[in-house]
Amino acid sequence: MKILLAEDDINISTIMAITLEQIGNHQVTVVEDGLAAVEQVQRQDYDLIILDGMMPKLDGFETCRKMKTDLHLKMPIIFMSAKSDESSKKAGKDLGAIGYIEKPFDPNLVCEQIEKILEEGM
Amino acid sequence: MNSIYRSLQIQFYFVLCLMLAASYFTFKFSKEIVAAKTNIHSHSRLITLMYEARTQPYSKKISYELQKSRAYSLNPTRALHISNFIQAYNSSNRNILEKRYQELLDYENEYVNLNETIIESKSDQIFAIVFGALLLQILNIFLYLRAMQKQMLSPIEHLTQKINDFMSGSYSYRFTTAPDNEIGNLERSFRLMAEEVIKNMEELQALDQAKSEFMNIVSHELRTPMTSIKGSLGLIASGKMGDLSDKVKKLIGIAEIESNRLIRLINDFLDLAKIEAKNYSLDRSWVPLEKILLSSVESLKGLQEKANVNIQILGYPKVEVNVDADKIQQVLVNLLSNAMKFTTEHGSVFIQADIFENKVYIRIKDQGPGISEENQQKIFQKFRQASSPDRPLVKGTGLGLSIAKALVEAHEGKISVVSEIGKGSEFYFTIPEYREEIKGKETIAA
Ligand SMILES: Nc1ncnc2c1ncn2[C@@H]1O[C@H](COP(=O)(O)OP(=O)(O)OP(=O)(O)O)[C@@H](O)[C@H]1O
Ligand SMILES: [Mg+2]
Repeated sequence: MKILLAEDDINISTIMAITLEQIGNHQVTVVEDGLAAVEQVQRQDYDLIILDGMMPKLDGFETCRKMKTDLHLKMPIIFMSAKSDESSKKAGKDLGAIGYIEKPFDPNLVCEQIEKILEEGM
Repeated sequence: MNSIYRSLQIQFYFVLCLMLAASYFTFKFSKEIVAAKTNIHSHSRLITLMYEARTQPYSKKISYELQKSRAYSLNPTRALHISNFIQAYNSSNRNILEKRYQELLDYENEYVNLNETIIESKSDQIFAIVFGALLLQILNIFLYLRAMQKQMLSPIEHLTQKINDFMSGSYSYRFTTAPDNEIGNLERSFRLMAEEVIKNMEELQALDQAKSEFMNIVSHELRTPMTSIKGSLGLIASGKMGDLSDKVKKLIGIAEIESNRLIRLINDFLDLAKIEAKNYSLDRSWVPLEKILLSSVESLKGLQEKANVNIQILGYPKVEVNVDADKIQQVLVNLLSNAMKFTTEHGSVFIQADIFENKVYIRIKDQGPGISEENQQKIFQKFRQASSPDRPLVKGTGLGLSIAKALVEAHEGKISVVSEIGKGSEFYFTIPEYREEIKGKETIAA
């Protein structure tokens, strides 16, 4: 799978990229903020977009809204955020995301989790 | 100042003057009536005497009585007529006496008529005064009530309405009508109070906002490094990054356990902050009580084995409860893990549920050291720990009971403890919403 990962924390994006590449055998592109993610999806198609909730310039929710409502993108979006409360999960769903990964995540389980979300969401 | 007190004063003086005037005239006219009545009385007496003088032989006594009548007569014309009659009587001249008698009688008839007229007219006047005063007073009361209605009652009603609105949360404290009197002052004071309250409320709201923003930032700032640590450890432990020696595996294992504990602590702390926030909401559904009890015990299997303590469920009613099952389970787990911490090896912890006063009571009893009365109050507060157990199974943080309390209270229940030093402890909490378990559900499902 070709995955676009938007995450501002360099450590987390490194760990996530290694996890997705080494454990899930995916191809990962990393961007550092929402605006870059929006630019990137206009340049290239991805099988999955993973957005961090809190990001500089454009936060995850705004990015998701731009991609789904303004650009009418069909690519599935999964959120990844430390905000684990129900309301932000619901906000993500309402904006068109198909799932939610809670931080801190267990790298050994993340790939299975993503597969499960994709199965259920499709 | 158009004060209500002033208008009350004016009202009072008006009524006073009215009463005084009415009393004065009534008194005056009554006196005139009494005088007229006395005159009529003296007239009757005189007529009797005159009759006696004409019909009976001359007597000194009658003469004397006639003199007396004349002396009492204040009217000079009448006195003169009586004098003439007396003279005629004393002279014993029958003809003159008859003449004088006729003159006096004529005069007396006129006199009595005059007095009767006086009585009648004065009575009428008294009646007119009393009746007039009464009418005036009624009119006055009517006008006064209308003025009061306008000056006092409507503004008070208006103000009451404003206060009620204010209490029910619509803060329309801007008054359009504030009359320049005591009611107006009340209204102005209320407005000041309302403004103060609103100011404080806005400050509190801002504070609340700041607090939850702060919690969000803390949550993010704490969980971000924990994500990196847990992620790195997880990747290393997975073996995908290269083989590890047994020692490294063991060390990585310790680091993973401790980072998980730290994450749990952060989550507990943030959970508590969230539950205590005003807009906390539960995910309620009807769940069999049995399921909650059994899965709580099940989830403590690990700790139970480590502590080598027996958990016994003594009994429970077959009911369903309307709760956020995860949260009530968390309450049970917190209470049970405390009970286990304080129970010696091979000891027992008991769970019992029953229905009392229309609530489900869930009790967790242990045979531990008990809690002193003083500490029973404190332990439900954050980070308050009383005695530490002899065998620290897991190092506690003192948040367990605070979270349990907040969760039980979010369900409108209450939580408390009954304990005595040396006799173990019994923690109990209540769930108000329950119903009989629907029978045959399993058979339908099967
Ligand atoms: N069953 C019990 N018997 C005796 N003391 C108890 C019992 N349960 C609680 N306490 C006292 O109340 C204190 C507060 O309990 P609480 O559950 O809030 O915190 P903790 O168990 O120390 O830490 P945590 O539950 O957060 O890991 C405990 O430290 C202990 O002193
Ligand atoms: Mg505890």
